[in-house]
Amino acid sequence: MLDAISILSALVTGFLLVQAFDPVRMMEPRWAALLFRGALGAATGMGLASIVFFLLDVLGAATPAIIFSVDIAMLALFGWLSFRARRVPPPPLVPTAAAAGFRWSWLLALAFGALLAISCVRLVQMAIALPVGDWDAWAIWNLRAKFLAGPAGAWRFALSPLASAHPDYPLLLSGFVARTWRAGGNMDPIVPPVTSLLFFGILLAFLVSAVALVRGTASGLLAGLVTLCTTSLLVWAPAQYADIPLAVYYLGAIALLFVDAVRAPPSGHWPLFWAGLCTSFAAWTKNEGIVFLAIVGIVFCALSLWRRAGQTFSGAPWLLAGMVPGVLLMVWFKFFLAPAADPLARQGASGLLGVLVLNRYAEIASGFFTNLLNLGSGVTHPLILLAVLAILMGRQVEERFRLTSIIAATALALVFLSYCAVLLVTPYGVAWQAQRSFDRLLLQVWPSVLLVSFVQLRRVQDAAAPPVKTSPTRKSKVLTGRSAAAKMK
Amino acid sequence: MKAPSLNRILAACAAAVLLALWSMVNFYGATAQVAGPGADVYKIGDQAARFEDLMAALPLTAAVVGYVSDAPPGQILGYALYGGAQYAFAPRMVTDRPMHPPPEWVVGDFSKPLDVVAFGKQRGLTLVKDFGNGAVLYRNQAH
Repeated sequence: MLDAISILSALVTGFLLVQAFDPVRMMEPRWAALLFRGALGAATGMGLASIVFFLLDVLGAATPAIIFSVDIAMLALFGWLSFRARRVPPPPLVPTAAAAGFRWSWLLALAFGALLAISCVRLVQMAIALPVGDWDAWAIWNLRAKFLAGPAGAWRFALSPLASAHPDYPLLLSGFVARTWRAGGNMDPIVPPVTSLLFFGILLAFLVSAVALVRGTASGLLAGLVTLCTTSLLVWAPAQYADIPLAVYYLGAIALLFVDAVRAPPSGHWPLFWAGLCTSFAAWTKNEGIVFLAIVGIVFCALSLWRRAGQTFSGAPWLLAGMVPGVLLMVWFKFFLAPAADPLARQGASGLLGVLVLNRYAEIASGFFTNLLNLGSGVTHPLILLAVLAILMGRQVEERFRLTSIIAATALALVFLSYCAVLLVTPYGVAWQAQRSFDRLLLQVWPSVLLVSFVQLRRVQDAAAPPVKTSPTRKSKVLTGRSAAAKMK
Repeated sequence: MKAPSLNRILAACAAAVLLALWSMVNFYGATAQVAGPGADVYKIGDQAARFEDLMAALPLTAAVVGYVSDAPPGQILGYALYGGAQYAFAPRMVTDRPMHPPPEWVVGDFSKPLDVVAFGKQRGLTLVKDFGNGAVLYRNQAH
């Protein structure tokens, strides 16, 4: 019971924090804004809970009483901030996706809901059948969670090369599970699968709501359907690995870049701050997340400067501010706590010779295509569905999303290339490594790729609906909430 | 580019729904085994029960415990046995790595029947108790 309460309090804490500095306030459709807020709040709450717990654990103060006290304090603070923020007059309504209606959206919603329910049944069956999770779950993530949840000082075992092959891996997932165990007073085996499925739910909610916010309800539902076609994602969802949580934070960051392109000052660049925070959580989830944080920061600043997009570049400090917690945490963790145990780092410069071995390129390419095919099954492969949608719907990128699309696509491509580069110099066999990890590496970026793809597709709307070119805040004429909605009708 | 007609849009939506439905059928087919009783192929979930008595016999102060096994190192069986034991014993740390000084208590984790006394002696370990089912507790002679 206490463990359930601790999970709930983490989610609510995150939600209230998001409400206080709402990146999607007054965006439409309202259901998508609420769902987006919920997804971002849950992801933030889980990340924040993990970090706070780890700090308390290291200080030797992570008792259930202190965990709940901190929760209550944060709930009170964020609740008050949220209440205060709601009393401030709302910014102008942002006439984005809601402007374009589609009369058959309800049918898509029905189909998506039914398929989601069907998939959930199987996911729960899988989670019940394998409560300890797949290999890395019990060998790495949950093992380290048990150490973190152990008696005082046992957290050091989570960072010990004597206990794990990867003592330097970041601890968001393990930390969250450990916090729930510690708060509950026992190591209930249901916590890791519940956490795992929660992250999958957040992923879906993020994608559907983000696409709905920037491209309309029907497009959001179609994105959800394509996600459900990604068999490999569904297979990994209950595996309790850190790849789905990582995909959540990648997607959150990319989605918020697009949200920022919809919104603009004077409401501030809060979406970019949240995007930065998502990269911070990604860095606390897996080593790949650290690379993601660095790449997003660099690409955002470089491309917005290069394209002379002053409006976009003015948000850079917000993005970087959101990245600060992640950078500080990782500097502390990597340089002062965790041993330099990664075989990649320990092999020294000799490993770089791998780039000269042409055979490695072929093996990586083979691994990539094999696992790309395995994302789905046969003709129901999500890429086929995406191609069908592209052919039937056509491409239409709104001007305001052009630069963000380039930034997002470049960042994702560079992140994926960095994965390939790591495979190129891995001290393990390339073929083995590619076979073992490429599918999960693909899944980390896949939801973000879907989001970027749906932004490129023409929005699903009844014929003759007016296209939305820019947000009103970027034009001289500012529409107020209700009047904007009325004009759109 | 010209906006697609309503028919094209409806065709796109229908294709998405049908392909997603078909994909779900494939997903159910592909995961029939992993959703059933044989999902835990490495029997990790069974290890806690297997080592239950041994864990109870360990003193509370034994935070770090050594590990020996007959499973050949570098093979799946060895990794799975070791990982399963680590997971069952955590938050105690079970390690097969050399330590100075070596841990006083050592877990023996055996995949087949053998002379556990002789196996321990070869490694400087004294048998404390054989709990059956391949779970054995040793004490390091160095202590």
